Amino acid sequence: MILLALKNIKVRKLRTFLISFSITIGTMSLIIFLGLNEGIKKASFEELEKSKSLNEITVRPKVEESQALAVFKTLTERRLQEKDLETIKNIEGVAFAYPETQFNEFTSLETNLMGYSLITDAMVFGIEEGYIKNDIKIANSWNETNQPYPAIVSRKLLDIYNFTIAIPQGLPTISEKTLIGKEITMYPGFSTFFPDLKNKSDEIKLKVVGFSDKVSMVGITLPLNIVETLNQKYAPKSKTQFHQIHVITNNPENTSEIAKTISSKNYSTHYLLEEVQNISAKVNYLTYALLAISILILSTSSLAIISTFLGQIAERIKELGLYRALGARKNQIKKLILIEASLIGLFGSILGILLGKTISIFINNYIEKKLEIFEIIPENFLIITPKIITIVLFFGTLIAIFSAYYPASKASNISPIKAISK
Amino acid sequence: MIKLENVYKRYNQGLDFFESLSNINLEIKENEFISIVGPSGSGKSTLLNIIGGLDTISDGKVLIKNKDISTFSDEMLSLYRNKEVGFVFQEFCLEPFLTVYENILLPTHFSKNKNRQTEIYADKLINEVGLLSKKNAKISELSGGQKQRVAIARSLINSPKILLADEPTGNLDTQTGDTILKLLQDLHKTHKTTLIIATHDQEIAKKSVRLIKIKDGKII
Repeated sequence: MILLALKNIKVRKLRTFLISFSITIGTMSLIIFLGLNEGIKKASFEELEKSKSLNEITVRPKVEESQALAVFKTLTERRLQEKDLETIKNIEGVAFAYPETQFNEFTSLETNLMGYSLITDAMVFGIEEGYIKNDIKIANSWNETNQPYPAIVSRKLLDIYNFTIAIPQGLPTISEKTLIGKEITMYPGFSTFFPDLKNKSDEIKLKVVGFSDKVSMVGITLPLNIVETLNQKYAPKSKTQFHQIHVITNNPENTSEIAKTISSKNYSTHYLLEEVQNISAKVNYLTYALLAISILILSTSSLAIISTFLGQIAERIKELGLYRALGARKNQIKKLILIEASLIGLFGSILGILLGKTISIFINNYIEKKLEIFEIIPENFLIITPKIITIVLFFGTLIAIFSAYYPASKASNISPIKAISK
Repeated sequence: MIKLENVYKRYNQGLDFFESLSNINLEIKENEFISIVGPSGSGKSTLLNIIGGLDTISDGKVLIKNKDISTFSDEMLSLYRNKEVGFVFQEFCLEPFLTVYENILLPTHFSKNKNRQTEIYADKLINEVGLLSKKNAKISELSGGQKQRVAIARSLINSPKILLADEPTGNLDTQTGDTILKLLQDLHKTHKTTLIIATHDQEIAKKSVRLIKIKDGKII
């Protein structure tokens, strides 16, 4: 029967081409959409993993649910204090707790880059060495108590500069290597935005010692003790406060449980697993949307296959009637048509997969070439896994069989005598 | 072997009906060679199709080896057509995209007995019908007589007990027709089949052992 089906496929080249083409287009779209979905999912998770490991919890003050109530609370009440740090450190399973503080005064940062003097308002954060030790490129620099003070810059900030300023304005792009050791001048109490804060009365020298995915993107990060000293000098009214605490648990498996314990003590917690779940939910929406488009395309393919097969059955009445006259049972005729459909579906799906894979390689290479300087751009936009290939192969073949089912049923009811006497 | 009892075949024509066969009673013995003769539209092809399980009856019984095939399910009828009957049509009814050899083996695709033995048997049949040199030729490369030889070989591939030929020489010239008829007679003897030929040609009919005349759906 398979041999007979193969002969039929070979001899009906136009039909084979039309159906294969429909399947190829459908499966190609499906594989690209699924590959895109996989790429986005992977990139999102990789990005999260860069900034947080599985055993990390970020603790912040609990935000009141009622905004009306929150308005009446003072800022200090909503900051974390030393006692909060002690409470968190004493929770079972907490290996380390790194408080993060911020400079409580307006400030601007100025630097010279490739002949250009850049000045901008920025926030200054303070963190202990343990939290970012792997990102410090200049050894022992974090313990420096004299100027220039060590500073860590967000890796994403560099990418954003390259992406949104350097390229659109035709300026040279900056790499991490060129910025290590670079001096930055910090002007406490000076702002480029507010006219009342235009006094560069004091300046503090900083030196870039590394780049990190873990530090805040909206400013620069210095050692915790330096920021505390600066606060005492430039913002003496502010108490020692932390805006968040980074908790490292002793076992990633216990992270969720420890986060729950911390939450129960009236703190807000954020951790990777929770964010992964949130992102998964969002990516799932995208998956459903892309699947809906793919189903629409495959449905169109399916209609084309039904139409082509129905036309073919009408043309093949004499031939199929002869098969019936020679002893073919109704289900054998149906089987023959379905085998033909599945073989064409399989062929079309393989072609669609190859085409989709080629397009994905082309897109990935193109994006890689165009955006190679950006750290935040994922390595591959389209990721076609063996699982996706299997799904597409299965679906492509199934759609062909499903679409051919009605024409096959119709073909199986051909009366041998009517077909022969035609 | 074949027994038709009070067979009627009617076709609806609006509120009325047309009787193609009327009260047919017929008995054909095993290995017999008979001709059903009658003018065009007399019902001879309908009779042949009913014996071959291609068409159904409106009334009566069609007994093949004492089994009434008019009560058969579609599946049983298919099996009967495949195993018990060999058909030779006036129009040859060959698959143009298959070779001579593949055409002969076509019925075996539906009987699940396509194996090395049937292939050897197909070779034997090709030899018997004198087409050994054309084994792998396409149907379009053959003459009318050669096409009918392929159809005859195909009709014998599943070793049927009944060979039905509907105007087998109708599309052939006299000389080729005679050769085909001779071939059918020879194969009927060597393969020990019951041969029933439907024809309007009296000369062909004369060569059969028994002759059944049919007119307006009735045996006369």
